Amino acid sequence: MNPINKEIQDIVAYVPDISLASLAPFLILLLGGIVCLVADAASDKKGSRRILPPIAGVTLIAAIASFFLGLVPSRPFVEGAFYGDFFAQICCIVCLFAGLLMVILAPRLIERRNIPSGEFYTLIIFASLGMCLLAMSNELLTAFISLEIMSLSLYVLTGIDRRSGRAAEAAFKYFILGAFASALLVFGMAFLYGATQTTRLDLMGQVLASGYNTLITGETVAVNPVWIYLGFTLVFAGLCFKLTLAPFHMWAPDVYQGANTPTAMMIATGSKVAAFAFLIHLVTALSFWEPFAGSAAFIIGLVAIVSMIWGNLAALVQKDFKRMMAYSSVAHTGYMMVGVLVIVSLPALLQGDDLATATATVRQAIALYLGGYTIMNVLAFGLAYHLDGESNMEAYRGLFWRNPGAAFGMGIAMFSLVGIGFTPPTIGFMGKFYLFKEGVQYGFTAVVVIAVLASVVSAFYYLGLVTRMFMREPETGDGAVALCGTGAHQCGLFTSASFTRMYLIGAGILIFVLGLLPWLFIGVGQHLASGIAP
Amino acid sequence: MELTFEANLLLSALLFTIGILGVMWKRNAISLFMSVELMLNAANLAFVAFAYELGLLSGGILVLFIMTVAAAEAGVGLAIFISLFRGKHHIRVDEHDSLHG
Repeated sequence: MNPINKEIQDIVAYVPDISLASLAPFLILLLGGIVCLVADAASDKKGSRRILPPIAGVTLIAAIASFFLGLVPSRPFVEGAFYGDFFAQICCIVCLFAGLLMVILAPRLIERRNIPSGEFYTLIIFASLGMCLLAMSNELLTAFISLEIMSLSLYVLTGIDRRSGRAAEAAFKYFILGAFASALLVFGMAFLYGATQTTRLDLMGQVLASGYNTLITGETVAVNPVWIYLGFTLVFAGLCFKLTLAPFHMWAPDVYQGANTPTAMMIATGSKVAAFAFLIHLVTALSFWEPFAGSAAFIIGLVAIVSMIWGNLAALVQKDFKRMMAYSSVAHTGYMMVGVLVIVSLPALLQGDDLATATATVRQAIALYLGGYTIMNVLAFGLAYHLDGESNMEAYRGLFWRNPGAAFGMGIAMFSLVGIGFTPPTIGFMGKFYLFKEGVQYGFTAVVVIAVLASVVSAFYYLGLVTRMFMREPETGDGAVALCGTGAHQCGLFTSASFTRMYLIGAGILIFVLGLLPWLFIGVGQHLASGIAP
Repeated sequence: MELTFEANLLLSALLFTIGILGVMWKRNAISLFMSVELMLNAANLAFVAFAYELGLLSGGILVLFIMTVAAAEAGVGLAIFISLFRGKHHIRVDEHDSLHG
């Protein structure tokens, strides 16, 4: 047979490993985003403000529900572009919840600042889509594209309020530094690709475990260590930006302060969780290379310690609530890095089945911490949004006497964020407990000690806010807006105000429930991971 | 002088460094963004160099995707610059500093 014919027949006969069912959550989000745009184009301003929140909310709920149908397989799918293990699925669901809560907060923002609502809801959905894709990506290119989908949506969401100069400046700073970090990331990816001949993280792990890349081209060439170090350093630098790790965190206070509060909430929780999931996947793949553990642990540990210390010290002197939360998120990511340190050093310490169970345990602890961190931040930002003078810390003086419910909610969030000391029943404590337990078990006691000391310092500013709310005299003036019943908000069953009240109360309750029963969260993840896996 | 693989990689690293210096030193927002694009294209060149050396096609295809993403980023970025300009009627980055402290 003509050799060219045979080649063409081989190409045509090859069935790629893509099943649409496994992409169900992404397709739902994509469809929802398009429907939002079309519905906005088809109706006038008032009409779209009425119909878009339910459309966006239903889209996000359907995407979350599609995970529970077990459609996403727990193996590399779509030709290795995605990997749906339980950690990735939990991170995806957490990001979608953050998007859902932003949709709940959105109507009040759109009304007050006269923001175009079609684009706003569509961007929320696309940002959630990008986060979901990033959490599940198994390939360098997929990760880059999903990072960009998420980032571009967030840049526009930051600057979408055209009447605010500060929003434009925040969007500008976020954009320039974000583009810079993406360029660092891509350059690092080039070196990782060159060293291992593949962009898929699972194949990269196999290549690095053997030390020779015979996989793709058939020649035995030793893996060049310089390129791996260089590649990882650059990719890590790019990801440090998204994760607001020192010294790349300088954008966070300005952007959180200048952006509208729902977007700041999304940036603080969703983008961080998604980028963290990708970092975990990358580091797991690279840790199969023997020389990697020592040097990477050094860089990661250094960055973690600097973040914890810098974030907590800088938050002490902040006068603005959102800037304080930005520095607190820097510190929290520093604590999360303890989990990354453990994952880096695991293949050097254990083998085979022990390695599998240990990796699963550490990932569960990290997932718990990420989920708890998201719930606490969502509660804090949500409450901050609904209090007038939302950014100025002085507005919280004597909040208890003006709006006791909000003060209690903020108090719960602050206590949970401290996470050490007399706060056992909260998710903040449980997350730190499990994570630091793993850290100490695998030899990172020094870093854990520094983390605990840094948490003690953080108690000053978190509990400082609690003191201000409960033990100071309220300012003269109108005080905080109640969530429902005053102003222009109706108190119906399905209004934004009632949903917001439900979500804030729910977040507060969840902090305690997950703090007392953390295995509920993990149980959900295990159920997800055992989906339909052919 | 022959165009070796190392020469390509060196060129890519050089372009990347020039881009970083540009981001650090330029004061006009559009010049800043041009430097970022230079960095992205240096990464593209690195991908192509590696792909040619290894005999693979995937590096070149990656470059197409990265270029597309860079173009989308440019669209969003320029829109943000326009909204920044509307406020103070200039885009000198060192003078937009109302968010600090």
